[in-house]
Amino acid sequence: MITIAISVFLGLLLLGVPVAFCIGAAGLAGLVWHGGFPLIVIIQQIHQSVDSFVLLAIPLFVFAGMLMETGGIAIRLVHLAQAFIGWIRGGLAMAVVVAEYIFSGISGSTIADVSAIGGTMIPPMTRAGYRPAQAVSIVAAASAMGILVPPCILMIVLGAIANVSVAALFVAGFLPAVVLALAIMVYIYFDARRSGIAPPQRMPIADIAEAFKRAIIPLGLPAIIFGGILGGVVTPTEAAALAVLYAFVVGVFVYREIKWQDLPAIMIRSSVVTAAVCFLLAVAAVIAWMLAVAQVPQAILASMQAVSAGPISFLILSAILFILLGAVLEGLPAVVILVPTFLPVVKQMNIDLIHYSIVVTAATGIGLFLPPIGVGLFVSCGIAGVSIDKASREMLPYIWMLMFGLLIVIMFPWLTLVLPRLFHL
Amino acid sequence: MRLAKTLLDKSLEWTCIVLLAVIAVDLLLGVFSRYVLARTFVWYDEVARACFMWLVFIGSAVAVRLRGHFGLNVLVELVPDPFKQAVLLITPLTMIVFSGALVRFGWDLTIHGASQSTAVIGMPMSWIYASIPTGGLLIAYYALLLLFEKRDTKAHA
Repeated sequence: MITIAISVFLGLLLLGVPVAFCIGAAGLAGLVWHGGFPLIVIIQQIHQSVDSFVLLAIPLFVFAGMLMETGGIAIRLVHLAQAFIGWIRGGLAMAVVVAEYIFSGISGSTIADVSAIGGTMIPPMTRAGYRPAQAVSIVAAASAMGILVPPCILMIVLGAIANVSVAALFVAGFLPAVVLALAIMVYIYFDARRSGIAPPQRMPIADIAEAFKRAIIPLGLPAIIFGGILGGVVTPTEAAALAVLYAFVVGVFVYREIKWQDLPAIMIRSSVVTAAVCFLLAVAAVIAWMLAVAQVPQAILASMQAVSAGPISFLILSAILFILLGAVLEGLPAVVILVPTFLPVVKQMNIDLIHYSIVVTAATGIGLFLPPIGVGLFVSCGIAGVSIDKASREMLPYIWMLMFGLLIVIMFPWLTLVLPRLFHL
Repeated sequence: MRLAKTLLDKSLEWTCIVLLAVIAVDLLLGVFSRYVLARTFVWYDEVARACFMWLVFIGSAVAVRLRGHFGLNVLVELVPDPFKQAVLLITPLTMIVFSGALVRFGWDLTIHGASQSTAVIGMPMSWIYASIPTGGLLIAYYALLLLFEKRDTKAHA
């Protein structure tokens, strides 16, 4: 059953069939071949995986992100970040990293971050003396880190399939994101020194206050989301609805960057993104169920025990696997099929599910930008008009730094677990 | 004929818009009722979930038309031209086969669900299950259009 399903999946995937339909056809082929299960199982698994209150946060965060996705917000956040760290050598690039940290606290989608931050920041960076490929790599590396800053679609999906509190996952992402951001910034500093980029002028206090004032409205969104979740006032799904309301009021009435007649197009785009993500999630449940029925999780556990791999090596192996699959498949399908299969192993090894989910999220984020095939890297190169070849070479050191950061996160579960425990999530 | 097609395209898009708006407003009402009215509307969770199922399956059909489903196109681009025409047919054919299963067995579950209802407001489960065969039917329709559309080999990106 499994062999048939895997061959159908790989064959169709290579022929360019969208992943969700490769998975669906593979599940169907496997069940028909086996013949022992009623095919209605497919529909039951699909229904069970989508009919969930937790997943409702996905359309809402996507919608809120698209409402806030205007260029104005990215620039305001970079100005704010520059006000704080702009005077260090390489400060502009570091400001991009810090701004991306805040921006992904608004948008929830990594590819959207790349276009917003890359589109607004790559031109000023090249004017300040950064090589175009270097600027692309910095934006790409920052966006890879940004996946760990909530809200994050992948965390919602992980919460649903691993049955972990999404609120806990959101909060758990903050510190690991800081670790990855610091890892990138250390390299930026040395790279800026080597390529002779002059440290920018210190900003006068008045300008800092002005930058802060201009960023207050965008900062309101993460403030509402996390204030609401951490205060125990709302669930992540309800926080997402509040985010939509806030983004709507800001976009339509305060900034007036969104006209009423733009709304249908924005809502259709949000629906299509939601449907693509959740349809994939739904059909992947069928394969995950088949793998469970075929006792694949037990086989993996046995083989891990055979090589007497401990929790750390299992986490490292998982990270490498999800970085590679994240590069090839954009991560999500790999997560929905493999995470349920790995869960018994994770539990058996006494790895905290929150810690595991954060490691998987970070690995998937890095994979999105892995040269030379990561989708995110393609998008960033497209924005700057830099060839993927040139960017790949400049990107590699950043990938190493990100992986180093991830290794630190793996070694010290405290980094992921301290905040959720502090807030009793 | 063309008019009927445009009408269907537009009405599906507007269905998604309305469902998304209902989900957002419904959840806001849920929060509002809990904190302001101090009497939580009991129905808001089930209504939102039912709308979400429909949004996902109608939206998936719209995504087939707008090519919103993720896939790997790198290798297909490398296929030499005469074969490429044939390779490009595989995507709609796969979609039709799988959506056939969604319609066939989704319909069974829908019939089965007529005797079940949701816990709080007692909505028949078949109203929710019906989103799956409906979505399957619409996906099959757009996949058929994809199968017969005239294409130049570059268009599929």
